[in-house]
Amino acid sequence: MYSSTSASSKKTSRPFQAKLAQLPGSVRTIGLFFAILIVGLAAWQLAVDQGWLMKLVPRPSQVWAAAVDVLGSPFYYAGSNDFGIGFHLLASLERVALGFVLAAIVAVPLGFVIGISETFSKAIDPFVQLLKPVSPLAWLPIGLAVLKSSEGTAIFVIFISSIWPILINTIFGVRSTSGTYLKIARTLEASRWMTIRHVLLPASLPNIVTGLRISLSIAWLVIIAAEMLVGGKGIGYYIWNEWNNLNLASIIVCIILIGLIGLVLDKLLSAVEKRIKYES
Amino acid sequence: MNPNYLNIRGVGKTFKAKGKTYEALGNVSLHIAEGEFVSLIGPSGCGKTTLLNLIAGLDKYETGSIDLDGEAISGPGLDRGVVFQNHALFPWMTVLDNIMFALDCAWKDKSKQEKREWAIHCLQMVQLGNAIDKKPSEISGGMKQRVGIARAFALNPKVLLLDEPFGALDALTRESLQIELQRIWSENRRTVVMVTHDVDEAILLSDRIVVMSRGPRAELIDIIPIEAPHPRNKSDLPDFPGYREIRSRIIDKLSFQFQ
Repeated sequence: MYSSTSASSKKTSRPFQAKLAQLPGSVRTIGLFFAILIVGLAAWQLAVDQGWLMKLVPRPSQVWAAAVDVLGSPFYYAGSNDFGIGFHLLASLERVALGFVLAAIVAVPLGFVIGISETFSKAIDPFVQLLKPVSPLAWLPIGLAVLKSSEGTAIFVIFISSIWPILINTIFGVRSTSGTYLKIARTLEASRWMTIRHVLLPASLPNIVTGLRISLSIAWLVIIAAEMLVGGKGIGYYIWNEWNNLNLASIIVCIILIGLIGLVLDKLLSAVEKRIKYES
Repeated sequence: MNPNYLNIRGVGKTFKAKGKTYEALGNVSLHIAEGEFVSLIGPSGCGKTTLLNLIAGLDKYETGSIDLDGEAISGPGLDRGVVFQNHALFPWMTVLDNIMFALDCAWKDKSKQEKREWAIHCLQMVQLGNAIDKKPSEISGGMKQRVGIARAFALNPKVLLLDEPFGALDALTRESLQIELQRIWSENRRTVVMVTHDVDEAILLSDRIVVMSRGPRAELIDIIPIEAPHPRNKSDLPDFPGYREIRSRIIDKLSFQFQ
């Protein structure tokens, strides 16, 4: 990862390099991070100033101004077609939350039932294998046809995109429960319910949470595209709208914002994941 | 004491996997008395654990019969307590909850308080009264196996089945647990069948040692009674009458298997 200290210390004839090598690794990492950031921004600024890019592309300073503008009043409301980015974000988060929770409610118990029965898991596998690689957006017209509402369709698309990872990981978790745990339950004549509640469920919980984590990341990816199509509100719709206004600066602000929120969502579930990991 | 408490009569076991069959046990017969401590010893892969699993009811035998206290064995049951090699505690439960789970399964009509008191009593019996709220990951391998032993004893089974209970422990811990097991067993005497590959462990603990041949079609090739009175001390082993003879007899039988 870090430049091998033995190699760099050999040619520390210059004092700057010698000093650099003495710094702790974390300081060097942070330093390099800012160096990349600054060089990147400078190159961007230079490219725009020299007219190497399309006229549409904003300068970093314009993006900063857009960020101050957009994030300065995130919750303004001036009619149903003109409101702040905060409302759009909340709308997207609400759709993701609803679709994700619905998917979990369906997929965890279903995955459990499938996982317990070997016949059932083998029978269901072709369906899962076929549907898993389909982009959830392909389901969007079906959602519109069946639900006849853009709001319902957005939630439906999130539901579809979330369901496969949760289902697959739950089935895997149940099926990979250690044989010894099940043997103990058998020698204790544990009832089916006791075995499910106290052995299979806790044993597969880490895998279930991993499935939830993957699903949530995918849902957050998919919601942007879905909202560009269903419209009305949401951060995806907002981006599309700004594109129609040829306003790339606020789109770049959105990209960073979406990335940060995705990061926070993932960290939340990875914290849960760490908490329930068992060491035997 | 019933001399024919646990009876294994002409038992055979064949495993089938991917179209291949493997005849693990040939024709095994053994009669174990109530309160007797019997060790099964043999080369690895000889079917010791298979035989133990058949008694536990975790595997089904095809030929012959096994009965315990007059009842045929047809599946796992609470009258047989099993201690697994790798302690086999549920890592998501505390030490106490691991015992409580067993009691919750076994005693449906007893109160929570009664079960809790008994579970704590059993943990105190294996010197773990101070660790009841610890998770298995927080205690040593020897302590985990003590919990496994406490769990098996907690249900007052007719037979205790120990599958290489100390095999995964270091020598010092193993020795202290052997002494501990002997003490607990003397205090609440019950029938024990233990699988081991440690000759001295077998001599220390057993009333009889059963030597098994190498598979396939593993059989019992020798049964050696150990007459010395319990409790025995590992350092006194060499002074037992016939210790050397017994030891070399077992080792001869075992090493013959490798020729």
